[in-house]
Amino acid sequence: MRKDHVAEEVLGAYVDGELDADAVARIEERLSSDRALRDRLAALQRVTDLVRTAAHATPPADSQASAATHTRTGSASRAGPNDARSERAPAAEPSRTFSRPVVWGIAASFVAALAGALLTVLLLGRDAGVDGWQQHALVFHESYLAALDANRTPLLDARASSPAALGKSLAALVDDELVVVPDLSEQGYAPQGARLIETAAGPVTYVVYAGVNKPVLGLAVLRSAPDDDGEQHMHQHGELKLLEWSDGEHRFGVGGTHSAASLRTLADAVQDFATGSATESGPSDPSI
Amino acid sequence: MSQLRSVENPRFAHFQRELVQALPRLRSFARPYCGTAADADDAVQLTCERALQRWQQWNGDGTLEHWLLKILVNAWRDERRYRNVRAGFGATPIELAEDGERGAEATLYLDQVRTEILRLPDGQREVLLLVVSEGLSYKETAEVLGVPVGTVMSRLARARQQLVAVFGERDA
Repeated sequence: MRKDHVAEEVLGAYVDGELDADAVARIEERLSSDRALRDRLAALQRVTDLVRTAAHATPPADSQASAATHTRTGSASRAGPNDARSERAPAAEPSRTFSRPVVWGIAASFVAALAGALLTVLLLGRDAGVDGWQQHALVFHESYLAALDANRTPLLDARASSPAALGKSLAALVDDELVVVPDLSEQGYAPQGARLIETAAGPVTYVVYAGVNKPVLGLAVLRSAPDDDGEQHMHQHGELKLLEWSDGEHRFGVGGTHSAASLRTLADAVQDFATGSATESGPSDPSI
Repeated sequence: MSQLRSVENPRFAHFQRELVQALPRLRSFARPYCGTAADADDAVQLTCERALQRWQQWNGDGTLEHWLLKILVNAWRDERRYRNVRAGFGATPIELAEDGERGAEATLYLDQVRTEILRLPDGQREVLLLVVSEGLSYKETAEVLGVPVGTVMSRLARARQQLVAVFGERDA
């Protein structure tokens, strides 16, 4: 029995490419004449592939809407040279090459790039006295958007290596009428980045805001809807949603998967912290 | 703000950039390891917090991702101990498909695989995911988990045997 168990380890090492050439030769020689061993090897390889597929495939609960369509409306159709797909940084890859879903790699690289930009913006453009907040904001932002966009390929992504460059990037998108960035400066928020994606219901834009001299991250959601003139334009859908905030000692935030109940709890907590200019948090729209 | 953690410290700034680049890898591992997206987010968050607190302990040997994976495994063990629940399984069952467009059978099947992975003892699940899902070598896995290579091999063999017992023969 013990001998068989060791053989199981060796067979696994063969599947994983961990054996030296001599050991590989011995295994393959035995495989050529041992059908039972071939069956065991096939079973091992099968569960290995299953584990890899299950681990890398995004579970359905992580995606919050059906697959996106590709019918663009209004100004959102002119993505052109600003299409983020041509700008993404390469994804971090494991030390071996596996056939993980392409969309996950794209999403991962995109999220990494956006998180990097946000980190830079936060570090350079925020109140340096809010120690640790930037780090929390960075991590949370990455997690939230990864969950939000699990199955989507963004069309546009405004990001940059500095606040000034990001400002230009956003301004260019606005000038091209590719995204609409609501002015929330009177409420104490400055835009930090924008993302345009397509959904079955049409294009949706996320704009991430950071509080000016206060540790708050917020998210505005805009959807395409017809104006009085009948043309499609982006309109803000609901109030600014608070993503994360701090009271100086504690961090509050909305997770990648979240519930209205948790949001209400957090909304209560933030009232103790937020200034009069802070907006209330509302439950996330489950359709986005 | 600590001077050592100031953004003006180029070593810390470099560390932060490297950390950001490692986030997709951490999430990739955390999702099947922790069982739910929310727990995976928590685990990655904990990892980043600990890494940022201890960034000076990173001596540059090996890869940062492996150091972060080690932190993630330890942080999640601590978190589970704190929650006093067995890793993911039971307390937070795998979410099942609600979207019929994605192929209910395939989705349910992969959910079963994830559930069986979560049923494995912690040590076996860690080894299985680090080797099979993350592509670490046995030696790298041993370093991340702080165990001998032989332990990696035996845990991996037992994990695979368990999964073969559930899925191997059924699909043969």
